[in-house]
Amino acid sequence: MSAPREPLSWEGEDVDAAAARRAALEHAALLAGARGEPLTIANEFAEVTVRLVDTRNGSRLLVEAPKSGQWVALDPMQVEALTWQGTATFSAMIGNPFGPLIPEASAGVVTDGSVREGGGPETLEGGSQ
Amino acid sequence: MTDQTGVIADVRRGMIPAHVYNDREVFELEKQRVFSRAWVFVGHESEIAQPGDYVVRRVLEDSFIVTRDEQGEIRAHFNMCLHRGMQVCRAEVGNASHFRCPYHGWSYRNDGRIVGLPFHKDAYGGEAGFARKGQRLLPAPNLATYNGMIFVSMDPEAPPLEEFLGDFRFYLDYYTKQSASGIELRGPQRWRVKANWKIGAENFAGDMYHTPQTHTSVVEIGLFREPKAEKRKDGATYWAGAGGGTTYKLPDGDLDQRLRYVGYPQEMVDRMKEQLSPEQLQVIGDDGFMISAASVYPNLSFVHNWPRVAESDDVLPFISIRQWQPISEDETEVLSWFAVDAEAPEEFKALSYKAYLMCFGSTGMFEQDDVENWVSLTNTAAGSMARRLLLNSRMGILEDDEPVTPPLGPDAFHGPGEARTGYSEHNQRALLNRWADDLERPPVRAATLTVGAQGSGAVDDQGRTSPQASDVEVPGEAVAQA
Ligand code: FES
Ligand SMILES: [Fe+2]
Repeated sequence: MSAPREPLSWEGEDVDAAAARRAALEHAALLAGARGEPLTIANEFAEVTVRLVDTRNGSRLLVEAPKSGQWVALDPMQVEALTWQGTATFSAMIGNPFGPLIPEASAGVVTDGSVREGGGPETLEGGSQ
Repeated sequence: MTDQTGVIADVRRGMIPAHVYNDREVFELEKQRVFSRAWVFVGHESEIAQPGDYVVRRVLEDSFIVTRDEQGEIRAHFNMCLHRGMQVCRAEVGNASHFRCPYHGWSYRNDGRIVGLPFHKDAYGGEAGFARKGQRLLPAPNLATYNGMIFVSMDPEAPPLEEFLGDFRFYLDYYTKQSASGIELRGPQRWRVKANWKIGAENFAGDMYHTPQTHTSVVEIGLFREPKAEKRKDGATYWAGAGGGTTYKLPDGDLDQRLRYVGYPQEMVDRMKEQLSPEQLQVIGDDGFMISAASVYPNLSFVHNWPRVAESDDVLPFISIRQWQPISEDETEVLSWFAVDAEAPEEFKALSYKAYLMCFGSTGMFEQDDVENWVSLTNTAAGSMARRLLLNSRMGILEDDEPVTPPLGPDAFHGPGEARTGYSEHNQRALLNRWADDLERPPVRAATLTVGAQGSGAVDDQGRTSPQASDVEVPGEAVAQA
């Protein structure tokens, strides 16, 4: 017999749990606003479903990967921003799987030269990849 | 500017110089001394329920984007682009993770932080010329919420919201916290009336006296069971902290019976019994008073009434939140929301909304009756004769300032503040006394904020960062979403 042990926990675990709870609530609220039928796109490497979801004041595209459970809710400008990308942006994202390519703490402003700024040497080309 | 000392002294003894309801100089003073420091309502959390949801609301001429950012944080950004000052959001409501200025395309995250300037390198020399780090849409100088009600103050040194509201919070709960989930809002309907903003605020604060006269027709057609003259005076008015309001006296019965009498189904009654404090329940159950209209200084009002709906004798309660947004000395934009307990049954929500539309909102019968008076009053207050007239706002006090009716004792009225039955203008005087207090205080020193200074963010000329400006880090931000 031994005294009841303190459950083991990693540092920051409670913060993770709170964030996960918030994400779960957010996800449920988005699904509650789902409109129309989901679309599924899949190949031998990946599978995602895409749904139009209405929030109280607008709408987003809910993109979900059923296998990992990860999801993202994109607004129109984020989707438009995809149309500006070349394959290299996606290569970089795919090359760093399951987490954000750019740390959230940077708020998207990366000044070490690794992210191109508007007006740089590379010019935009019309059309797709 | 004309010295207003005389005006203030008159107001303090309950004699209102008629021109304060239509006077450009007084309105200028109100801008500088009332709306520059008071906590002003800008919306409810339920109006921006999900990340990215936003509404655009004003405090006088200042437009704010009131939004829930991607992390769930509620923010109010001054709706002016840091570049040339274009309005960033022009739609009144929407959902966006980022805002993009329509003029030259500067873009901002919905937490306010700037992310991009087109041709940043070519035009500004990149980060060396214009550092994006720390630059953000200006946050409202102060932001706080109570029961999901979002308020901003233009004074960075304003006292905390809870302190400002004071004991009025006790009464605010009846309107905004009938269950653990709080209220949800529909609207607002928004329209302009040619009336001074103070008139509506005073009316909702305590004018039980106008009900039998102004709203006669509503009683005559049988829409409303209560406002017969002899019944209205049995109600109590109360003033506590930043606000006050009116109540109706309920027939004999216990708490449950009385809440059902105004039309609450038992399941809602049960949730109120869990949610409200013993004293809050005693005001209804023991003292027999049910809250009706109320105002919070300076320009926010509430109404809770229970008209007949459908053909039967059954009544059903509704709640409306309304704001008297000043446009000028003789014009007010009315914002009128329908509010309902989020946990109420769907059928109740639908009928309650119908009850609201019959009574208030741009087509509501009470609204129509009221506004006719307020427009006429404002119009008449513009001329030279009005400058010679001191309106008598002394109902409820004798010549020696002794009250006509003593306040109710703690056993007769369990709420905080001062309450009494019968017709009086104690509340209107309390509201205008706060107004006089503000008019007497020197204006809040407006701080200027510099855009684009290296790494400074929003800092005023005294080196202060506004509370939100320094608060860039968001807890849990680095945690990957799962
Ligand atoms: S004014 Fe907004 S980008 Fe120029
Ligand atoms: Fe009225």
